[in-house]
Amino acid sequence: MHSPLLERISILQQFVLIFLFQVGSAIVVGAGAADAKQDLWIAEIVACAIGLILVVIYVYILRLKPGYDLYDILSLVFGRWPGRLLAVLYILYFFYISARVLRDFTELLIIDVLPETPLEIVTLLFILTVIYMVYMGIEVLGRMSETFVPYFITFVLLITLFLIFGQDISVENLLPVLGDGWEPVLKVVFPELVTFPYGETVVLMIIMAHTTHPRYMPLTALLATVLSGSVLSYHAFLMIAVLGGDMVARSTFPLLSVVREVSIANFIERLDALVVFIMMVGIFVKVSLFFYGGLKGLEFLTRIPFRHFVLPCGLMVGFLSIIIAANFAEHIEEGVQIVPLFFHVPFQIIIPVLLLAVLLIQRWRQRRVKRHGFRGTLQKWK
Amino acid sequence: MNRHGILLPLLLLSLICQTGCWDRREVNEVSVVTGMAIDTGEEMKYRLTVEVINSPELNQQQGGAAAPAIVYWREGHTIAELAQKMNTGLTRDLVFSHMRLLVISLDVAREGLFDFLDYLERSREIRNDFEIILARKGKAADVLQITYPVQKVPSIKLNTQMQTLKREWGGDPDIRLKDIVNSLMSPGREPVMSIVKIRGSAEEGKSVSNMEKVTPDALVFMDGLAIFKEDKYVGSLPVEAIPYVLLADNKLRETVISAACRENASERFTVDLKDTRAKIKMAVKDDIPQIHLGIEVEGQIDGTECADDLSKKKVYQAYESRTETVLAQRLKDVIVLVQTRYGSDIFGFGEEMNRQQHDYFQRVKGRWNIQFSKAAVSVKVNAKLRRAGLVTNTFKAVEQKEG
Repeated sequence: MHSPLLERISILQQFVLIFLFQVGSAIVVGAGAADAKQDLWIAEIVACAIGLILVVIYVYILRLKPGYDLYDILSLVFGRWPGRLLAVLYILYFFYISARVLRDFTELLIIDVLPETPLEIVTLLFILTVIYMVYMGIEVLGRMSETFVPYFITFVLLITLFLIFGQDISVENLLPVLGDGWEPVLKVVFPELVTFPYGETVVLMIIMAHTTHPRYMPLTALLATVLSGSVLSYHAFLMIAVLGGDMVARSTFPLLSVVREVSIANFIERLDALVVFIMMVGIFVKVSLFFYGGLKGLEFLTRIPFRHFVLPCGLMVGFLSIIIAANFAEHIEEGVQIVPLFFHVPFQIIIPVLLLAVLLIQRWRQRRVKRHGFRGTLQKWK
Repeated sequence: MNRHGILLPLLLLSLICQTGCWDRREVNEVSVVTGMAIDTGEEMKYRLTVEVINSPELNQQQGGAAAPAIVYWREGHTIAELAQKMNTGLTRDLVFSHMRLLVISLDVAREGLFDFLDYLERSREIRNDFEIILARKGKAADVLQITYPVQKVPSIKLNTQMQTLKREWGGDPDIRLKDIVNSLMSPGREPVMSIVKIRGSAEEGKSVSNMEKVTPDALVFMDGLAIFKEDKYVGSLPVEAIPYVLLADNKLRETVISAACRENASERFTVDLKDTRAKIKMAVKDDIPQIHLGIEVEGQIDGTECADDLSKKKVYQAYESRTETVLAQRLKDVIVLVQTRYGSDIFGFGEEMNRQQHDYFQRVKGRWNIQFSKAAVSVKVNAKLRRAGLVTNTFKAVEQKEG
């Protein structure tokens, strides 16, 4: 093949990737609003705090086995065959989530921008672009994110500015703060908001293992998570201040509804395209990373370079995203009720925590052996 | 080679796909809808009237003789269905995203708004930037047909009129789709909307010749505020009450009031209130809501009929205290009228109660309107008059002194 198996991304690219990955679709979909209502922004902060713990776990696992990615560590820890079985499950999980995320975006596009265009066409175009880019490698994805992140941030700031100048923000929509106590807030925090998007960072365990500066990798990951947490919370705040809690809860894409409010002097208006762009960048990164995560798993299993799998698997992901749900309600219902509990929690929390636990015990034993020598251990056993 | 083997087909494919054939809409193939009117149908549930622009007529150089807009109606069971069926009479593809006005008739308002609002809120083309008004007499469709020389398209004329009225006098609540939906959903607020009426003969107002007269044959004017309970029309307030309704809701930007110079005097002075703010405090005593309105207004004296020397600080103070008394009294009258006659919380006091006394409101939200009509309202106004135009002492005062 024309490139070595291992590709590395720079630390800045890693930062940008994690940020876009976490903010990407979460910013537009508005998960959790149905229960938390005007306290969604608080829920986002709590979720970010818990999400940070998850990210710490992922990063710590990688630090304990430097140079190995998720799949390597799985088989190191659980043995060759159980590790491979888990790898297969992870591959399926990554491909499935990749398809789900893709569907999120194609639905937005069809509902708001291209009502007459068939879903299949939009999906095909999008997945072909993803295929092309993943084929070119993760470094290309990293560079693309670097290129687009200034636009992303500018558009997010522009939306805020327009809302302020258009006098669309009324802060009293946020009152009463925690009127019904913590219960509805905590209900959406786990599992919904923690797993989406923070828990999904688990797929980055494949990329973060190979950065140019492994020393700064943990710090970068944590900073990126804090940044996306603040952006998400800030946007929840903005959506509630503009639309009110009830409206956010009922809105299909709250950020889109917010931007539709913008009308300054009958001139700056109809800015839907900004939101579509914001979501497109995020979704692009997300779909690509999940897709890449799955492909790397196939590479790990078969020892065949992942580029051989890009086209067939990509088309499968595209096809899956079309047949995954018969209608939008089914798609969302599955995403809210089934996916977090049965897919996210095991793959994002249970398995990584197990991994970490085993790794820590291993290390503890090794240290004991090192400190007391083999005999010291035996003495203790007497 | 391998790379090009994939790249080339991809590029070709994207060429085919990215033309966007499905959602292509050329400007010369669409008609822009500026207004919509909803009446009850004779045979079916609704009668939808749309007003589309006849764009060449709006051109400054070429326009003139023909009608600036075309109106077409059809009956049907749902508005969603009707909106797509308008091409039974109109030629081009209709674009609803630039709608400026939605008129509903009194009959429709009495039957309830729920049934058609869902479509409006759901539709991707319809945005939240048009005014919603009620036509009290006759058909809502008539309002869309009364021409006007300056803003030739009737919907645009009304939209502009309402915006200006709100800015200059606070006489329009500026009700949008989102406001109606929010107040329908909120247990602590009921919807309102402006009422319009046609002065003159609606039949003659429908022709282009209406634009040729100094006194148009027909003119659409603002005639009050419609009050709803849930989604049904229950009554109205006169247009004079609208600034006070907005004031109690802290939405008033500017208004003008006049008051007698002294109690029981027949001469009046007029003040222009520019910076108005309402602070609403909610309390509960013996299960009865206590609403305290603290109003802060700033303004200038526009004119006086009395022989008062407006270069004296004392006169300003006297006028300030008169403004305070009169404003408080009228505001209270409006609130009490709504409480007693309609029992419908159009001021959004319930929402404020939810923010300030959350536990209490959660307990009573099912019967908030009843609690609202029992509520004790107190108003305290603090008025500050800053200046009085180009003249200090009125000529009347000087004349009296000399004479």
